[in-house]
Amino acid sequence: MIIYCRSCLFPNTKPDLHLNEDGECNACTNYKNRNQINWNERLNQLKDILKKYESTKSAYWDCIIPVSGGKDSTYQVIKMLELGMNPLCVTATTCDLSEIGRSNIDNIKSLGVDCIEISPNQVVRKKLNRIGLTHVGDISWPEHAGIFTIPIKIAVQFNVPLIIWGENPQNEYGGPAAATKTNVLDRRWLEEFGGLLGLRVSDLPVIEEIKTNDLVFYQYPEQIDLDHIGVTGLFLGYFIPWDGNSNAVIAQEHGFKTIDTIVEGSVVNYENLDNYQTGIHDYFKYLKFGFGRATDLLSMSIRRGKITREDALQLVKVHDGIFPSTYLGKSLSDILEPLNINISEFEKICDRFTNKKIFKKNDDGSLKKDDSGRPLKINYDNL
Amino acid sequence: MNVIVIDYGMGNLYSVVSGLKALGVETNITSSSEDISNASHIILPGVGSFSEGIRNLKESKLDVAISDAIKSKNVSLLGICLGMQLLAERGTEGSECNGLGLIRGEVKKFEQNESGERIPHMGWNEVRHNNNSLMKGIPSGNDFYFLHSYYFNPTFKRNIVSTTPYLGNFASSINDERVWGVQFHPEKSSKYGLKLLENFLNV
Repeated sequence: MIIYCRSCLFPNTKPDLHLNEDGECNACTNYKNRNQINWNERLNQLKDILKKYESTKSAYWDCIIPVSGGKDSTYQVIKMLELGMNPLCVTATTCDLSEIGRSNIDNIKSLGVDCIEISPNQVVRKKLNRIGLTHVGDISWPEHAGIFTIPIKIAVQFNVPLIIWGENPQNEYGGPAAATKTNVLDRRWLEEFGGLLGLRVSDLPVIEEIKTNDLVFYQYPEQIDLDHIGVTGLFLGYFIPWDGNSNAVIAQEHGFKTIDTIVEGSVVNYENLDNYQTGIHDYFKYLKFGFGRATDLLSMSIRRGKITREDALQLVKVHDGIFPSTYLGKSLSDILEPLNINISEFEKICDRFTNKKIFKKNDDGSLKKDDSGRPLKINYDNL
Repeated sequence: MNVIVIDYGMGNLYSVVSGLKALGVETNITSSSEDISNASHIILPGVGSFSEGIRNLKESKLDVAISDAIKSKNVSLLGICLGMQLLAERGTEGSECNGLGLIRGEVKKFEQNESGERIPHMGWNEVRHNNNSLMKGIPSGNDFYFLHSYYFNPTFKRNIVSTTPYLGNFASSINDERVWGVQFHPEKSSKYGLKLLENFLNV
């Protein structure tokens, strides 16, 4: 049986999630603790920190903002400009950038900031996508490494010590309390929570013929360089109450574009618009842990009192774990083509990563699936 | 009770500390030899490669402090993931090198076999145990969360507390006197993960 948080819809098959004696998960208790926070005080703390970096600046820019072009990074840029900072925005190009993703990156460039976009070698990246999918079940593994390492490398390169990250994902997605109380992203945080899934950059040349030189952008800078510059990464979500939905509203006011329909496997139209591989990523999360993006989003809405748990559960049943036959309208075979993987090979890889214990089985032991090819869970709620 | 978590630059401290906190146990994160000699329970966590882990321990002389504490007094030690592997006599990851040698055996890389089971071993998997005190109240066959490409191959079967059916059967937890090692992550493994940490504090 899968046990679910009694307040939101997170399952106990999510690593790092703990349910307390009342059956409530740590993401929910973290959220409740947010009400105790004096946000004015936090904002003043932030202003003090920013002032320090402004006055001691050794470069033209006051801070680095890692930007994907999404709603959150657009909001981060707007907020930093409001606070009088002169940021250098750094984009690590996604693994399979969509048209709307490109347009939203261009939108950030129009906000009045300097921007750098780093696009690591695409031939190598296709190999890394393949390794990520077949070895750890994350097709966008190189992106998930690069979004952290590239801004830090640029910070070192341009001598800009302060990096402004968005939300600490450990907060609302459930994670250890000690990690959620911190406001700093460092190597240690990255290794524990950065989502590299035990695949290390140093493992890659051994798995396939890849030159170490081609992996420069995926490597965390040397400690000595970080210490020399004094690189510090802050989570903005520690200082400002974070809400993806309101970030989307504010971002749209500043030119950020959404799509007409909700994103496949999701329940909204304003996030994860920049990489065609995201549908595969979310589907693997469902196969491994029995929940998808709809659970993440709706659980956040439940915590904010915007939807009842009962209504949210109905939506989760419809959208979570949907087979990724398209994403943002692009077909699965087109998304897999650069990786040299066909649909039948893809299905075999899916099977290897499926936690068979959390899905229903037919009499012959095969997984029971719905018409779309989505495996059916043994239970969708606590009994 | 004086519980410490050893910080030797190899990560995964936060989850362990917060797991123990959920049990109402305050822990001291430390890289001081003195703290190790005053501890009643030592937890050695870690992610990363064997050779880097042992190098870091040696550079700060924590290897000696740990060995001395285990030899001289009634202290208990739990190694988690890389922390379990470092208990071995030898490791082969990075380069061949000696480990702490607290439990006889060596650490080897998983080799692909015909099963098609993937490497790294990642996700929830069964832990079939022999009712060692570390596993008190935990059903044999319960799932714990794993993430590793190397495994501990103990010299003596008597040191095996549990096995996990993956790429053959490997020792997913081990014990010799007051030293325990678990390849999985109890701190990431929900209810029974916390139970295991609690058992360790009560042994």
